[in-house]
Amino acid sequence: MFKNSYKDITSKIVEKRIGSKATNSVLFNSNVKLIRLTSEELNSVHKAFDDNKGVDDDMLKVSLNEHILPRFKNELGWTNIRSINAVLMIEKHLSNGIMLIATEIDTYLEEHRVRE
Amino acid sequence: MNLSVQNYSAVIYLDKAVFRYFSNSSVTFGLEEDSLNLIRCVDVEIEPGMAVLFPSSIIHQARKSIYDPNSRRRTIVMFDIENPNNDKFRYMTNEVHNIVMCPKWTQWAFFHNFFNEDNLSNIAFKRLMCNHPYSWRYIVDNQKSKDRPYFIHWQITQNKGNKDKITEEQKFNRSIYLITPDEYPEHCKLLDHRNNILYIKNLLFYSLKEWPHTYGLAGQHMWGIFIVIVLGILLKTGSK
Repeated sequence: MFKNSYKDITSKIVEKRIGSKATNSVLFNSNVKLIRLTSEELNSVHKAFDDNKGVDDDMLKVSLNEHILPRFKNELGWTNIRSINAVLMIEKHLSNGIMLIATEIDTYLEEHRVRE
Repeated sequence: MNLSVQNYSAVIYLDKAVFRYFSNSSVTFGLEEDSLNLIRCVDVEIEPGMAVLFPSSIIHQARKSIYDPNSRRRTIVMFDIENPNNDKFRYMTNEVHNIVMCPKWTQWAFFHNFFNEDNLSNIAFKRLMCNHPYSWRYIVDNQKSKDRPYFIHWQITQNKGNKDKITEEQKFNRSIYLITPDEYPEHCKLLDHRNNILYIKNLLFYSLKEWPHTYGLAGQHMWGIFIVIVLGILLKTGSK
């Protein structure tokens, strides 16, 4: 399932940044969690999606607050949990094959960074 | 506690896709592993019904499935997943979270018209890897916590607390807020920079200030293309 696609350009930058040697081992970061949702959790999300009508905000909010966030809380081992917002999206294929993320939504390829 | 693991994002996938991330790519405090000299680009092939939960500050990207590249990709991305029990401590210790609201045009996928996905990714990642935001973003100085790490993120929507009428294009592509505008924690600071002139002025000052540190990084030539095209449009409009 996990495919290492270490790109030349990235490896150069990484080595420049931290002065390290790239190694061959692949380490799945313990802070990144891949979760398979249960059928109940997934059904609650699917209920809010309708191919014709779009997404029902109220149903989705209930699904996220009552089914998804509690699951995440358990996965993280936290005592409480909150999420500020969610973005719903379908990424589009353009005729030239380039992927375009809809412009009306929040950033996804995100420069969500910690600033020192 | 490391700041990087206090704020998570999550993507819930309803279709096949790939989630790419760079392990250990968070800035300084976010070195999640003991082995500090290991940063890897990892592609995770996602099956429908899976979710990925990750620290928001890790460099990551949404990609199409390798095995089913034509699959549509319906996702729900959840931002700012935090433990509210830490709010008071974070406020008291000045661990600020700046949320900068930007003009809509800053989300325009303009450069997708000139570069393919891999080229664009490499340009973007080069800046991020060197701890600089994209060339069309700027970091807001935070005097209060100048010597402390803090979060910053950029968004184009705002939490109005009421429902707008949804257009056909927004059936699937939009933000929904899970808290009301008055429920933001005290350490979150909302900064309204949607005014175009204010944004461009701040961007200009920030770019000039950062120029010595960003010179040579990818991104400048993107601005070159942008400026040439805008000038071209202006000249064409003016000559009519």
